[in-house]
Amino acid sequence: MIDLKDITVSFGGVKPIADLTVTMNGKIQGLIGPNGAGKTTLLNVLSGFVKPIKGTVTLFGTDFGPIRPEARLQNGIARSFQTPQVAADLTAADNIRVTFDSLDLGRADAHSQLAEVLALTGLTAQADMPAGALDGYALRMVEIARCLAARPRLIMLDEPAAGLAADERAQLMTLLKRLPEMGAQVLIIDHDFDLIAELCDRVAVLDFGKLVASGPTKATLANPKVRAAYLGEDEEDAA
Amino acid sequence: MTMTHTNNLSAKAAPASHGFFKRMWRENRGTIITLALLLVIVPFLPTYWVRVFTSMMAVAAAAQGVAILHERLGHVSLAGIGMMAVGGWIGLRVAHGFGFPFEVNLLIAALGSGAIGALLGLPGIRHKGLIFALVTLMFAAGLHVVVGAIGFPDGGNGFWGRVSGSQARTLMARPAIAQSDQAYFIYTTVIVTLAFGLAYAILKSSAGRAWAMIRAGDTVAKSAGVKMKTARFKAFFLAGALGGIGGCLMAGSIGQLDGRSFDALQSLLLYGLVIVAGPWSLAAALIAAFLYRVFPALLDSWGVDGDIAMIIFGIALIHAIVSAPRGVAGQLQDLGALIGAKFGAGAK
Repeated sequence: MIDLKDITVSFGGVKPIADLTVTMNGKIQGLIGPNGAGKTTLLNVLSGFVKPIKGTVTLFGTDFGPIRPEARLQNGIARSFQTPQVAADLTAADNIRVTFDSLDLGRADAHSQLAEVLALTGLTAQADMPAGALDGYALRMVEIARCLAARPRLIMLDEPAAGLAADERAQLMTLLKRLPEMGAQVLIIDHDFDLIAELCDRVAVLDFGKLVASGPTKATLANPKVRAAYLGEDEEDAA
Repeated sequence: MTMTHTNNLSAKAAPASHGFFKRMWRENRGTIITLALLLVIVPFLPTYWVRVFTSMMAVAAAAQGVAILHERLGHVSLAGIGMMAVGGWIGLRVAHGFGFPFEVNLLIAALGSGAIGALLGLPGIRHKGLIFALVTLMFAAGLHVVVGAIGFPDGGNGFWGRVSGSQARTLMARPAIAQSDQAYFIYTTVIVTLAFGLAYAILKSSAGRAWAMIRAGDTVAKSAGVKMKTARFKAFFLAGALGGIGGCLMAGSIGQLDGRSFDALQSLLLYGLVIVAGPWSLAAALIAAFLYRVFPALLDSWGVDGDIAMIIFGIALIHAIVSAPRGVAGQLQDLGALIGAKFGAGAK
């Protein structure tokens, strides 16, 4: 459950997010908007890398304002990046082990959980390969596996399907649909309308750092304001 | 959160965690073979060269610390030789003050210089790049002034342990099992090999993984929950300790140290040579130390001014930066692969 109240972010006077109040409680929650809408900035707020000049960030009932970025994983908040970020000289498995290290997980527990996460993400065969030698899809999976290793309450994925082939995208969607069963809320930040429509039960739409609409996916995506802001359709035509 | 996906997994086994020593051998066989060859050949060389190679091995320990900071954390440490001075000073002080066995002096020197290395690394928690490089260079320069003024302990009384007047200077005692130059070379090489092994084990541990994430970027490391200050602190401690081991081994080799050998430019040179050598590899420390100590001595022995090595190093550094980013270690690895492929093809 993501609860944002009056969030304002300022970069040298420019406000990519201004007075944003929204509750995002979808099991698979979408966050969409055109380029420059403030989606990634909002993700950085949620993961603690950007401090809002105003407002509160409440996740699962806890004020996350004072919690440092590196401590958020231990509090069940995990994230991925637009471009997969991995340590290229570590193996795929070692990239995931970093999460276990951070959580001070015992060796035996880490070993069994690593096997689970690798199997879930389809990385078992590539576990001992250096991450630098993996293709784009596998790198994306390494990132997601690193998040899942923390058994997160909230997993935030920034454009997870970007650059994937159709079959890879289908595999990714199958995986993401399973995550709520495991107790994780999923926040997908994207501007891929079709992906969001297929995956998310709820969606919030940003434009110029402000909330355009929020609610169940189908109704929200059909909202004339959303179609006007996002697809450039005339608001009256869309209605 | 409770994961409920465990029942329908296609694979239960974690990835093969190959035996530590097998993996170490596979990744570092060039370094291990080189160390073995040095152990076999060098003791049969004339005493002068045995001493040169002993000095090289001591420098290799410090170079490993510099390489780790550069390659694993992206920090430019220009105090590699400075940390040797710290370790040498502590080793000499403890040896003369308490008469401990050499190994105890070595351990205390490593821990002491590790602690000072960690303190020196404090600015590195917030600053990378030029700022940190300047901090370490200024430390090395300051240290040179200090050891120039106070000198290294030589058996005297008081905190500084310096003799005065006509009192005779005392040399640091070598280990009982390594009294001769040849035996001391073997001893030094074994200690440095163990230090390399320890460094490798740490690189493969949670600390090494945390460093690799930091190298990938602060943001990704923080997202992965890496405790940044602790991880960096460990790296600076390790680098300092390796420098200290090198310094103490150097002190044991000569019995005494001279402050003039530890000027800041030497630390700068060592860093440059680590880059030339290819810091991604454990072998870089050996290659850098060879270039630092043995190569100039070779030039001298061939009747060429050893200082010309600086010109050659400058050209090599430009070459490494422009066209050989994996350094000498990478080129040797490629050469080995080429020979292996040709040999394999010939065998078929």
